[in-house]
Amino acid sequence: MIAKELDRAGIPTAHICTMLNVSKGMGGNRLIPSRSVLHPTGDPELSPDEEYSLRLEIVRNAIRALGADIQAPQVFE
Amino acid sequence: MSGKTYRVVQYLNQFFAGEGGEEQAGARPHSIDGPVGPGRLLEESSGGALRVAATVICGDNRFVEDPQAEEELLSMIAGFRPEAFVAGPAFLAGRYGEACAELCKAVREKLAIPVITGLAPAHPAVDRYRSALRIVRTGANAADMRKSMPLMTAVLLKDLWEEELSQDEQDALFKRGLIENAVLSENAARRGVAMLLAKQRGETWQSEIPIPVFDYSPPAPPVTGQPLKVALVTDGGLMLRGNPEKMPSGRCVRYYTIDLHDRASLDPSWLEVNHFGYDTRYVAADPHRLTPYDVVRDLEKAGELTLHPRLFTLAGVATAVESAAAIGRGIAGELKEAGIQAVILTST
Repeated sequence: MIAKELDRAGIPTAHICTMLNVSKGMGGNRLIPSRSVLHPTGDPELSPDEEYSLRLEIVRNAIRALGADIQAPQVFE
Repeated sequence: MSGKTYRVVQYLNQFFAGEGGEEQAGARPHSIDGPVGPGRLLEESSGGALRVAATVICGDNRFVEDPQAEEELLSMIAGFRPEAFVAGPAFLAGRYGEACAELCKAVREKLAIPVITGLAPAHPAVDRYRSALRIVRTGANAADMRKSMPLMTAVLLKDLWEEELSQDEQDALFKRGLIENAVLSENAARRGVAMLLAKQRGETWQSEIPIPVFDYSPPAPPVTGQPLKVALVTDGGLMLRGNPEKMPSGRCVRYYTIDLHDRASLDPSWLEVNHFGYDTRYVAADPHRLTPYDVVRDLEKAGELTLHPRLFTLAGVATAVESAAAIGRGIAGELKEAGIQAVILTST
């Protein structure tokens, strides 16, 4: 819902989440799969350096999504 | 109605199966012979017409994170050769309700047997599954179990007996938006002309075709260029240590902000997490696991991004759809004013 209202206001929103179908159903358009419900942009199993790389990869996906000209909801992996 | 006893399989999450709370939310699909917890009430309220052959169980996080989980559950369920399937009720529980609705749909498609689940009106799965499924309208939490479980039983039995629902039972379900055939005394031409005349005379009239209201927002146009002005938003319940703004751990009706000025990183010395919908240990230990401030800050130093100096946050659990929309509009207004071009939103 938050993503939908931001999009409606003309602010493209990259939604990093696990339940992609839920986001899509609620109006999310630029969807980026997260690592887990419990730690969307990290992973306690990884070393701090690996965690940072994972996070950087997710943010890169988000930036790519924000710059993508899309007409319908799309998942950016 | 018949004297037959039907074999039922029921789906429960780790919590309702009595196996534990969030610490067990990663539990793999498994099953227990016979009824557990709500299953006993299901049998009791059926007056002997339903017997729970097995209870299938999966942790809330496992179901939404592991693409294999649904398949495993479905083959487990099929293995018990049920004549009907019951999921939940899940009330307002986010991941659990998703699992219940999705499994009901999948079981009905694969096994072609009657299915039933129960959800609270504000649950986001209701709108997406109501047209495909019979879903009983429940209260917001397990305090409603004694009321909603017998209703689910009654509706399921009518389905098994191939009998029509009573008005009360129909009213207990979310409207599916199906059109029923009805025989009227006047033909369509007469009714149409009568409507037109009523409209012409300024009298009240009602269309026979309700117009559905679709609230859909197309994707906002893309933004590129450097530095891109972005803001971080999260619904994972991040807040200042000590919670000076008194943010509730769920059912938020507004958003909160965290001042990022001069903050090199997010850490537990000045932040904590307050959210009743998931196990917050991992993100509390390192809030970058919830919102990627460190990465965004480094990209800012590299000239790729400019970050809004405040982080927008709330505990997005059991938040009513209307509240979420209002919160979204509020954040959008504030960001527009600040000239922000794009948002990175993270959800748990």
